[in-house]
Amino acid sequence: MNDKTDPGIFRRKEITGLAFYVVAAGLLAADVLYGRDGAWRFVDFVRVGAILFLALVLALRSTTAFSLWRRNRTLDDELTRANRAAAARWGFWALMLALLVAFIASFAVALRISDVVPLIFFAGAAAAGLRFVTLERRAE
Amino acid sequence: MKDETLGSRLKEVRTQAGLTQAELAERVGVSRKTINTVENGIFIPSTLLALKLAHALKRKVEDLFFLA
Repeated sequence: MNDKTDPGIFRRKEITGLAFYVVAAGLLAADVLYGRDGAWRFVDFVRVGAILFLALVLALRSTTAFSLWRRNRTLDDELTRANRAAAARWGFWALMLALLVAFIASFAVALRISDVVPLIFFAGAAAAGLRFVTLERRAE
Repeated sequence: MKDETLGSRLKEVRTQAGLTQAELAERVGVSRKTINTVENGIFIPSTLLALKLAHALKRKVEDLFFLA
C-alpha cells in the first residue's frame, strides 16, 4: 500500500498530535494534583520534561502501529484503525458515564477531585482497551 | 427501508485464484486478519480496499461484493 494513496496517513498525523496533547494534559494534571508542592524547583522542570517525553512516546506508540521509527502497515491496516476508532468511542462514552456517576454521587458524598479524576480516566481507558482486544480477537 | 448489508464472494474468488488469505493480504498490503474478517462479513472494507482486492484478484468489485 502506497502511503500517497492512503488517506489515513493524514488522519494518523492529526490523531498522533491530538493524542500527544491529551496524554500530556492527563499526565500533567496528575502531576499537579499529586506531585509538586510549593515553588517550582529545577527537579520539577526535569520531571515535567520527562512527563512530556513520556506523553510523546505513548502518543506515537499508540497511533503508529507500536513502532517509533517506522510504520508497520500490516499491523496498522484498515481493520486495526477501524477497531481503534470503535474502541475510542467506547472509551469516550465510558468516560462520560463515569463523569456523570461521579457528578451525581457528589451530591450525596463529598468527593475529592484528586480521587475521582484517576477513576474517570481509568474507566475510559479500560473500556477502550477491553473493546479493542475484543474486536481484535474477533478477527482471529 | 430494509436493512441491507454487504455480501461477499471474496473467499470463493480467492480460492478459485489459488491464493491463501496470507498471500492475498500480502498483495493488497493488509494483514491476514483483515482478509479473514472481510470474508466472514465481520468487517466492511472501504472502497479503496475493495478496489485493491478486486485489482489483486483481477476481477471487478461487483464480482466480489454485493448487497445482501
